[in-house]
Amino acid sequence: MKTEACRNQDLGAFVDGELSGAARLRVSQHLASCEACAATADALALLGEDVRSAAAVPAAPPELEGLAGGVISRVRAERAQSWRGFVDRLVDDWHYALVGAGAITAAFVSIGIVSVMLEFGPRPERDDSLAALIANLNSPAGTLFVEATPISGKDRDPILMQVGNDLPDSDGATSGAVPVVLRYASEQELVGALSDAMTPDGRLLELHSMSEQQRRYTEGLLDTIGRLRSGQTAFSSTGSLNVHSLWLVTNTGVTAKGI
Amino acid sequence: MAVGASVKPLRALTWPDAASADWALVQQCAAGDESACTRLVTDHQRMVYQLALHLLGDPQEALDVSQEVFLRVFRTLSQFRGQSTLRTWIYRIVVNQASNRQRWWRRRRRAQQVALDDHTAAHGELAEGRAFAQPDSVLQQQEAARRVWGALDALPFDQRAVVVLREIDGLSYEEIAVSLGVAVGTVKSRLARARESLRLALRPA
Repeated sequence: MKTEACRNQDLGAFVDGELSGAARLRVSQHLASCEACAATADALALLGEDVRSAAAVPAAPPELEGLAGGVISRVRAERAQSWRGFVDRLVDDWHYALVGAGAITAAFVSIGIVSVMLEFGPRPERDDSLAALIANLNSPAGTLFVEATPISGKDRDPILMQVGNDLPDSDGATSGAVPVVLRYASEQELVGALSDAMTPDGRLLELHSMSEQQRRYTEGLLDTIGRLRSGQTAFSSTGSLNVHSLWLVTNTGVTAKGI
Repeated sequence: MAVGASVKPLRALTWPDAASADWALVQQCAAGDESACTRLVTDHQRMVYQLALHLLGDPQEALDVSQEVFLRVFRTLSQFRGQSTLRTWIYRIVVNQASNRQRWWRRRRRAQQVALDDHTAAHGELAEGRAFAQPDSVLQQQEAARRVWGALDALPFDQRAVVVLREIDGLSYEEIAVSLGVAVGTVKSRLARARESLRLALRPA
């Protein structure tokens, strides 16, 4: 008689060998103790054997041997009829034209890419290029440093003065035109005058290559600027500086040139 | 055994080997290799024919379906992704084609016109004149086969397909599920109902 436990047994999967180890063991134990389920399992197995026996198929019909040829022929015909086959036939003799068109297209694409790179790409700039030269000429020439010792004070230490130096306008009027009298009210004007002492292209004249008048003028400027910067009132009005050295720290190549 | 002779064990064919062989064959067919296409057909044509015959019960129908199946295979070869074996994938196409064919015949009321005798005759039943020469055991087997096919023929197509794939082709539940495009649980329930119907139909009177 079937019980609740019998209904929970998956006899079909058991007969088919689809149960895992634990489930298979559980069904096996149940079948050992339940004659009804054992009979059902046997009936299922017998049913499978009956179906397999009935399914004995005679030898394949001779038409089956020609199946492959027939199928391949139909596939070939379908491909020939398809739009893909049509395109394949259409371009069958076009391969040279396609190769030529491809080469021309590639050439145009390459030219286009190079043009875009030249137009919008980063431009390498060399130090000696014209663009670099123009950029340098348009930038401040550098910073002027002056090392000097006040003449009036024997025990004074040498002082180092930094003078701002912007390039003067290149109007040609400052070349060699050195004012005789130093009467400037502010440091800015003194620095401007010092800038005027330079040649229009930003080159600095060395003191020893200046004329006596130019040298005194420049030294006077530097002296005054130094006093203004250092705040040394001892030589604020009449004192002077003994300039030891004068150099320009600049980003541009400065070539000393005698006047 | 001769001295120095060695035996080199043969490597068993594993699933990855079979899968890669299937995949290579499919790729060759997709590339238009006709010899590969021929090999695909010859390797599977008997399997396809027998399954179609078991599902439809008519040799001529089975042949037609076999041809349609392979045409369908080549048309949809690009859709084969190797997620199942090529055999299972072809099984699925066979079942679908057979189902379509049966539905088509049913619409044309062909189902009532196909007699059981036609099917059993196609499966080897001898002509009446020679039946007298058969031993009783053979006649009993033929009678049993006729009853089984009658019971199978009476099943709904879905249940018949499950029984054929399980009992005749020996597919696992999972392979049947893939072939029919259903869940494993559906396979089990269909199989249980089919077996119950068959058991009742084949019960001794």
